[in-house]
Amino acid sequence: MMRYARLFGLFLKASFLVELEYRANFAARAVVSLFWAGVTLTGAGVFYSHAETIGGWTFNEALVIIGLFTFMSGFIQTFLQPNVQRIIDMIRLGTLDFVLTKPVNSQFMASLRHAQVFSMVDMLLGAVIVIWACMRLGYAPPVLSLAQFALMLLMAVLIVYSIWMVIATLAFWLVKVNNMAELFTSVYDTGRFPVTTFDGLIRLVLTFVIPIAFITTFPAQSVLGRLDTETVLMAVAMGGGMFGFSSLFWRYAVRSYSSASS
Amino acid sequence: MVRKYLALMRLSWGLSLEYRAEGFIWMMTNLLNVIMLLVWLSISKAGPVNGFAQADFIAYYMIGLLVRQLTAAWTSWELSFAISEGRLSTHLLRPIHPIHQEIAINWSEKAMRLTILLPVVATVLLMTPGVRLNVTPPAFVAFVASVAGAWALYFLADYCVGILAFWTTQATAFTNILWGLKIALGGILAPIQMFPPALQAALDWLPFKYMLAFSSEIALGQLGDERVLFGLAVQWGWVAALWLLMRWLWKLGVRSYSAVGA
Amino acid sequence: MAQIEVDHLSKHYLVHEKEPGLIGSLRSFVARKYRTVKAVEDVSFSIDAGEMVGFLGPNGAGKTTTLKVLSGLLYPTSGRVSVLGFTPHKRQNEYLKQFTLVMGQKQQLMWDLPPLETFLVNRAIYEVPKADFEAILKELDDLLELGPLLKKQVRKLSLGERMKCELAAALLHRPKVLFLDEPTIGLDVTMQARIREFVAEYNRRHGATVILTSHYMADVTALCDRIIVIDKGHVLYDGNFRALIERIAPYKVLKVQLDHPPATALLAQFGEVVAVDGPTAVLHVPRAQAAETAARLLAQVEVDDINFEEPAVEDIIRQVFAGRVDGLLAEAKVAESSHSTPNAM
Repeated sequence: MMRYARLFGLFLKASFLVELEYRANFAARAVVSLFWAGVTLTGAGVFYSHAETIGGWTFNEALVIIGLFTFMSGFIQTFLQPNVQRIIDMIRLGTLDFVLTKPVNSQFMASLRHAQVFSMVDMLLGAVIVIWACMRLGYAPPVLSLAQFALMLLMAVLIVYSIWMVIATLAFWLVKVNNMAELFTSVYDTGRFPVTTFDGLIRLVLTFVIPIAFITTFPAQSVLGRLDTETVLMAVAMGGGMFGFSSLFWRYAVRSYSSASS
Repeated sequence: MVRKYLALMRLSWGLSLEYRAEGFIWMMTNLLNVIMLLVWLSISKAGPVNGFAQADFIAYYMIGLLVRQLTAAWTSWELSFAISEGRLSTHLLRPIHPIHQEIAINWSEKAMRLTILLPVVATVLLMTPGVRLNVTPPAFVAFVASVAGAWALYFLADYCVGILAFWTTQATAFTNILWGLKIALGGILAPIQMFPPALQAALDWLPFKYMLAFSSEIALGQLGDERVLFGLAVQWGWVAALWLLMRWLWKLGVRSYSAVGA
Repeated sequence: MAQIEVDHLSKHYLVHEKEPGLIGSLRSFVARKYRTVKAVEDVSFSIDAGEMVGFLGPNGAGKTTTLKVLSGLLYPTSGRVSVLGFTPHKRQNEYLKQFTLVMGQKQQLMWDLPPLETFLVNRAIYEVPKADFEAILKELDDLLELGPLLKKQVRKLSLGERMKCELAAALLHRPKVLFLDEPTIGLDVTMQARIREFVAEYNRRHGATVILTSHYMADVTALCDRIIVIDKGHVLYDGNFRALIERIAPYKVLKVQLDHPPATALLAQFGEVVAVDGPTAVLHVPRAQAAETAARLLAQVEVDDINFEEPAVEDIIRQVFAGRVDGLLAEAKVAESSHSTPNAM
């Protein structure tokens, strides 16, 4: 465990050094992040100019969701996207062999090797929006809510990680998985809105099939101290289950890669 | 010239069929239109918003989906990679401006997408009660002219952004922002009528709504003849301006490219 | 006991076939056709600790597939493989720490960073103690003259410099077994020689076992006493390299320069006439009688110039692939036992 933590630290350091090589990236990242945060907030302003509540959430409450959405986008871009892209490239170029011949867990090595450190700007921005929303609401979350929120956030991270890993793993069989990633990004866009905005079947899909609700809406409810215990338990089951599945799937893929290629 | 185009298009048709299911997934990435539609349906549950009833939102976003697919362009990515990786040199040696190959690729992808999308859009429009479309011949002509203009406008804007890669390594950040402006101000986030009046007036003169919303508005019969003619004039004015800008940037770019000796 | 043992190894896999053109694309869109490829078929050999063995064979012969099976990247379809007492495809960490895989066409160094950063990551991955790491790095630095390269971004290194660093990165954990797949590909002749010297020296110092595949015959001739010739998944020859040369080419090449075009019949008394080009002739002369024949020729014919050459290794190998050498596999055993005759060439 300690060894893996140290390795992860080393990976982060190396990634940071890479990013420093391309300093202009930082400015560009920051500008793009601010721009999109602006678009999202303006959008919310336009929607709420025509309705008091959307999906039962007021503007200020919805800001918490927008903050979480921005935060998780940052997380995806920092840790998941670069690695998934590289896994796809490694499978195509055959350099995955270097990962598979290393004496460390291959999923760990493949999925956490790189980080786009500058994209943490979005994580920061997201956190700021959440805090700002709480201030506008005049609300200070009690410690218990914060603890629950931490748990929910961890589960959200596990869920997002697992979804991206499954997509990356599909690259063992499908040629252009980038489109799948693109598709997820599109579905993820629903995370800007409370899941209650959507009706019937769509809400069901966004809760249980592609569980975007567990990534933004439920953690936001948790901060606001309005999440029931059942949903928390469901989140734990969902996070654990999906992470387990993604690991098994990766292992299965590596096995079949070993038996089906030359 | 026509023959060159056909040859180029045939090539990229082969490419898109090579990867099955890809076309379908590409389509799905336009989910944003559907998501925004669902959000507006949720907002307009209580009653029409700024004159838009539920059926109007459906018609608006379905036509918007079609227009968006017809006018999509992603050349700047390709171009900026080609420039930064030095692959452009081969293109420059050919006796045809690289933009023509990109146009051919763009069109053949469209052919592919339309065959899938057209039946879907038609079915939804026919099945939704209360959809009002302006299907008179002059409106149809105006619609086609506006779609052609929207395609040229976005394609050229995108191409100009791609050319920036001659000078900056961050051209993709500009692509991202251009795309974001189209989403936010072009009528995907919200129909233009939902914006505050001052912004609406400004948008009459800016290029963004002519990349998308303008065509949908014509199809829905929301614009009087005068407004349609005015819009077409502004739109094609922008096309001409961007064409000149593209030529100018290209000339400067190629000059500085050759100067470095890449 | 042998360090590497491969017993009746076969590796098959399926490939998807696509017909050219639009119709072909459409057809394979609907229903894909698959074909079984036998990359490796019933291959057996064993290699002792410290041996340097060359895999020879044309593209697609199964060399790389065999290496990948040995490094645990591929599961055998059938057969048994053991390296250092481990079953490679189980990929136990204890095994992974004891060998290394270098692929000339692929790189593990981080493109945007100096090689040293990759080395540090590898040190952590292989859990090399700091003191050992420094000693090993120092040694590699001496042998490969890495010096200034270590702090330059990989993308700024030349191909040869990059390969040196790739090798260093692959050897930081002091592996006992080295799998080198085309390590000199694309390098210029001088750099090829440098890499070759390094591998030989490394083997001498640390007694590491080396399996090498290469397109460049010079790599193999310089490094490996033993070669395994593979084609279409089968082992065609396994044994001493020089013995193979003697078996296939039991002659020397005699080049004679005369002052006028010679009569072929006259020359035929001295050996097999292979080519006549103007006043120059090329003969194959049995190895044992080479000196005597030359003397006879000089006495009987007016000769401007005369010299002996060894048959080109490339030609010999080509003959093996062309199937011109029957029963080679059976003879391999003989070659094995007779490879003690040193320097017959």
